[in-house]
Amino acid sequence: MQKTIQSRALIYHKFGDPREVLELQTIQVPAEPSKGECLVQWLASPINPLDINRVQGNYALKTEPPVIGGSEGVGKIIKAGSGSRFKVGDHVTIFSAETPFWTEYGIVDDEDLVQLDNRIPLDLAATLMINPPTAWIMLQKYVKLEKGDYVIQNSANSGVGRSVIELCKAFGYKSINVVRSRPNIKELKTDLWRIGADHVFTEEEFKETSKEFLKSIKSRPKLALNGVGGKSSLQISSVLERGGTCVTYGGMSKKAHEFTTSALVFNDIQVRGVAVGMWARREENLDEWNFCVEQVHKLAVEGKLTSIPMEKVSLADHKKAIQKSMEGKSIKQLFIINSSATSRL
Amino acid sequence: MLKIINLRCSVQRAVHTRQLVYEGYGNPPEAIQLKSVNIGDKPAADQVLVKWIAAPINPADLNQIQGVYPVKPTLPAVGGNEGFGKVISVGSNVKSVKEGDHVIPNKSGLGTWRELGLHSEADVFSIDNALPLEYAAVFQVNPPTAYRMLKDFIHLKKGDTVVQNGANSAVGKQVIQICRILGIKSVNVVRNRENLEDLVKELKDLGADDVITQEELYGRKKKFPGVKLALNCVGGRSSLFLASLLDHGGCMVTYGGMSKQPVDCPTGPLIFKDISLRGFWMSRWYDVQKTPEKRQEMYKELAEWMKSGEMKKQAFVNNRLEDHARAIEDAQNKHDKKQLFLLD
Repeated sequence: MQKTIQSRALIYHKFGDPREVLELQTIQVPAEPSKGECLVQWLASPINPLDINRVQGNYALKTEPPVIGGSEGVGKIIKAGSGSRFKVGDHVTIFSAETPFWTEYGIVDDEDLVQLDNRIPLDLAATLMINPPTAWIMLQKYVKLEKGDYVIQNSANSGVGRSVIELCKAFGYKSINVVRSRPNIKELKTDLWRIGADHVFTEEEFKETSKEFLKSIKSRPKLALNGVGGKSSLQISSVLERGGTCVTYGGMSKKAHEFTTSALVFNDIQVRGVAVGMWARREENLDEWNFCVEQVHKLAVEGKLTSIPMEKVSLADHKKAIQKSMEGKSIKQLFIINSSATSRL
Repeated sequence: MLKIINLRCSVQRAVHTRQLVYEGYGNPPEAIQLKSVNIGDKPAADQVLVKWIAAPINPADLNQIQGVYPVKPTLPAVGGNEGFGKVISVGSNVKSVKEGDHVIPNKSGLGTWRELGLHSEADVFSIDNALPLEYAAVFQVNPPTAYRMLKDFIHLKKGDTVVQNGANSAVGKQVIQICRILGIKSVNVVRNRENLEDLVKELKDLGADDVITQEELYGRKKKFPGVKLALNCVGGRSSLFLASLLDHGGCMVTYGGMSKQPVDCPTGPLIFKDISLRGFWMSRWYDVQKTPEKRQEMYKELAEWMKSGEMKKQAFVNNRLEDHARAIEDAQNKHDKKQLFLLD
């Protein structure tokens, strides 16, 4: 009989409200990886908005339940099958929304694994494969930017938004960051300046002062990055330089994205959209994707990309953590799947 | 209409001519005045003297007089951006046009509501002299807008589908006809109205494959196959649903905003189907042409389709210059037929 180890996992057996359908169960995982496989101990994995959508059955890529949740994370090689390029203790991740991440252990195909430098802090390592690459692709693939060029974005405090700020700084671009007003706006601004934001405005401030501000900078932004939609996409796309591009990666406001007729017709702006999961899977983007992952990894090792603030929770506290994620008022929730990971954060 | 006045001691004679002028921005029927002016009848070396024949009243002309159009001529200005005329005489250095040529403005802002004009050679562009008046008067904006939007954004193949709202607009009707000629299917969205059946018949006679109302579009479950291009001149909810019809990699081109609402687009198609939103403005296309070839090639193809009758004539209400107040008023309020000034 095949030897197995017990693994606690967050599973849903049907689509539905993630607070109700997700269950913590114990599953059996083969203890010995076959040739070309590794036994991975998952250490940390965040709750992303797409995780919620997937459990609800609302995500574009649908996997029929039963499914173990999660869309990215970091793990450690416990056992490597024969001929594996990994050794025990290596940190790894996978780029695939189909992977079971919310489980203590998993058997993974060697070729699906991406090695992460063990020096990268675990919270950053657990969130390295979706948000930073989204920011990288948007900054690199749509408009040719030069040092000193301006980029404007809304949702600047989101995971992607913070990656955009850090990458702009690393590439020498200037970032104009628009956030929603909130009680602790001063702290938020200070925090975004700390990670490299050049300008931070609330939506109201930008509405009032954008005219003068735009006159004070050497040229208007060539690129606008939109994770919100509604009036916010209209606000940031309307200040683009002639021929500029607005790239959408999310619709947090749940409203349609708005763009003025005159920006499109008279100012010749282009509106595009990207979902990193789709982008990376396109044959023609494969080389570019590998390069992107390599670059993002390098910046993480160098400390130029940092982790977003996250609240650490255990798998057992999943109901509360999912609830907080769905309300959208708290910082991102990070499952610490294996307690030995805590000391590495 | 022309009075020729002899001026003593001058080789240059002054020609008396009438034009519709606005001295300041305002409500077009009131801002526009009919003025008589004298102009020289001898073009300078790089000038041409044009006798204008017909010019329409377009929405952009009205916006320009209101001061809300991006092309703002120096005031006082002669109204009208489109139309055609005949070259009476040319200056000694003029090469691109000759006496007798039919010409249209090279770009917006020339002022076409006039009987005679002395223009720089660079401000006019020759067209096919055999083109009948009804086509030549409205040759510069709408047919090329439809043509370029169908050619410049997506490589359309026979059997592909184009969807458009505002299908009953002047551009919309050109789109239907060019699609038919090129073997492209058109799905046409119009607002519901009392005489809907007449409109559906009219558009189908032009070559529309499908004509649906906005309400049918909003309620529709079944997708149209192979939609590569969407043309939007409405905005708001209509653009939202139009964008949702696009296939993977499709493009929605906006060229107007009749609803005065912003262009709306849903998240899903934008990020998962890699669609793009673009805008098109005929004036800018003309502005960025460095050489005349592309424009000549387009004009040739369009003129052939018009002369052969493959593209239908538009219906007009003909006006004299002295009827300007009523004509402009009607252009603002009635949209069934285009108002045209006959200048000859």
